[in-house]
Amino acid sequence: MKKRITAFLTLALVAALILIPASAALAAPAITLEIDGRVVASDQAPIVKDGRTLVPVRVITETLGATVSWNQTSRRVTVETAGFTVVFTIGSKSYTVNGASKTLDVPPEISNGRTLVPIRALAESIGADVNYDAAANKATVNYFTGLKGSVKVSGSTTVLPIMQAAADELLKSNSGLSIAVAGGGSGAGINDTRDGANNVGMSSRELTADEKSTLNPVAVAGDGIAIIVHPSNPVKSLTKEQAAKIFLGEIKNWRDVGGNNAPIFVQTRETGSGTLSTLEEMLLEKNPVVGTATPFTSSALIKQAVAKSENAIGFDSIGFVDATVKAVALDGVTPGEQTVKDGSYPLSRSLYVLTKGRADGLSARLIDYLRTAGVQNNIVKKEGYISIY
Amino acid sequence: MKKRSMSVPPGELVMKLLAAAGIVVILFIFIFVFMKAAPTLARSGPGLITETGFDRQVAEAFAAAPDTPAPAFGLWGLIAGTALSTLLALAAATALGVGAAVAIGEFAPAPLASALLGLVRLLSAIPSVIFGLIGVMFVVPWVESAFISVDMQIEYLDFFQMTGRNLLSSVIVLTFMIAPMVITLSADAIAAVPDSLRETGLAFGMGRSRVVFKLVLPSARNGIVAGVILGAGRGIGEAIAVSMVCGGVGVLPSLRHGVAALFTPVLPLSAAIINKSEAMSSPAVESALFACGAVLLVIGAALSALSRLMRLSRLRRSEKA
Repeated sequence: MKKRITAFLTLALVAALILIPASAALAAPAITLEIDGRVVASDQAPIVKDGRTLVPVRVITETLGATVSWNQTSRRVTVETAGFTVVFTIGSKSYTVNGASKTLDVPPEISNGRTLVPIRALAESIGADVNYDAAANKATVNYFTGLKGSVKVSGSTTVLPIMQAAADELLKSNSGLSIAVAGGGSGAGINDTRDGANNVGMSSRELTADEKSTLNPVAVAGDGIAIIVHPSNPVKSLTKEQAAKIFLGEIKNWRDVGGNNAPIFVQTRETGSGTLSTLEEMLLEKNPVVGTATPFTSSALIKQAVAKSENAIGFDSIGFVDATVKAVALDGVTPGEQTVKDGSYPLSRSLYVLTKGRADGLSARLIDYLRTAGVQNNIVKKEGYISIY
Repeated sequence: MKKRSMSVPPGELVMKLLAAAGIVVILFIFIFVFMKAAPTLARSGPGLITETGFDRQVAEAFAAAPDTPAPAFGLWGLIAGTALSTLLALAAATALGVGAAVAIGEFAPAPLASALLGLVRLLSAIPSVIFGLIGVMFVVPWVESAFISVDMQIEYLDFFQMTGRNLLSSVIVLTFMIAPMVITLSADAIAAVPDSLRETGLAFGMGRSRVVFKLVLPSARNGIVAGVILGAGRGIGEAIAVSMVCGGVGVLPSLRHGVAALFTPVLPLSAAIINKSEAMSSPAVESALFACGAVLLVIGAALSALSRLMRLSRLRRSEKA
């Protein structure tokens, strides 16, 4: 008995000794994947099969600003960029690009719970530049580099800071590219796109059904507008109606909403602020904020004013709210990343870019760039908005 | 030899060219500002300087659909804000400045006087945004706590928000910005009064203060007036510091409110250009802001013409005498 166990253990040990180097040897030609000059890290390394490199689809799409959806029953993977829809079927050699059928050499597969797709087919389908260096075991994809041409962007001043920062970033690595970003407000941006006066429009409001018939909006960020008061203010929550009446000047004393006997000093933003127009649209039914309100020229200044005045009330994009002011709950919902994302906070909205028909060329590339993990994490969040992921 | 006597010294030529360039630039500024302001001037007519409601009009113009005509603008509230804040500050700065100049020039011992003058000159070199910061940090809270009660705030809320950001704070900040100019120019003028005049006065048995008020100040009048006019120019044109403490709403201070009118938030013309520039993507608003600039230019030109006229009339009088 004892001998048998010893023999078994020995066998196991020997087997292990033989198998471990073998598997290590199999994984030896580790493929590095480089997108726009940056090595892409992943828990699942790319693999080579019949001379084709397969990479985890989610890693790619995050870097290229595409979205991936998975249909369990049809076993289909849909990769969508601003300009292209690519549909793969697991185990099948045929795939479609914007509806047109094409054929693969190696079918996509699922490995360790990750969907792997052939990098060259995917990248070329969406217009990227792919190179494979066999000697260095390196696949290189250029998607947001080497861009040439010019793009005109105009519209919402709320989306403008995101667009401007992203454009600046994109221009740094593309010397042949020019991006002209202008404001003008959502209305102007939508009109410009419809009339062909810009390539990409920006809007901080939903498009109407009529507008959607010719224009194609893509969400690039989420935003919520917090109603802010001084931290010492006993009022913690307002109904949407109370908040509206305060900003319209119909409720003038904090006593009337459960606070102290003190005047309500409405703080507002100067004309031209996207946050102000959204507040007027979503809370005040397009009526203007009371005329006695003190206007400020930036999100930072209005917050500072509310932080300093006990009787003040103001509003700010939720990214600006910190401990110096208190965000009141609206209809019992506190503004936050979660309540804005699920739409339960009443003053939440999506920010859009739009093109006439489906985006193509540089416009599509710019929109994809806005949706990359890099821009979402480093620009959208930093500018105080909420990432789409 | 002949050639040399004909030629203009090169320094003089350069000066003439520079002067000509200066005139061209000023002309260009006038033409450019009035061209940009033209649509607003044409549409608003005389209402531009008699009507109020600028804040609302800017909001309407900004929100208007691109193809609708721009509304008429009324700058009276802004002009009143500029005039009141500048005149009150000027009055305070003149009293303060002339008094200080007399104290420095006539009564302080020489070393102290020169030290004080140096300090005052330093004060006039401080950038205006610093005055604005000090205004926001100290003047605004002080005005609010010293003069304004919650009851007053509730009483006036229908008309305006009574806070530390108001006309009085603008006046206080402007006073401290204008006073150094008045002090410097007055002190220079007082120093230029010949000592023989003072000695004559004293010899006639006049007291020290009588000499100052009856002899020294009248003969130093030119310099003092120059200081006041320069101060007026600064008061009217000052934008940053005032925009930080004025309240930012173009409310017309009303005498009906008595002393409380001092606590009205105002929006002087120059501050309006800064504050409303966010809405400048609308061509109508842009033109309206240039109209503010045009009004400022006219006031500035008028002030400068006035100071010239005053000097000319005085020269003529002294020629007659």
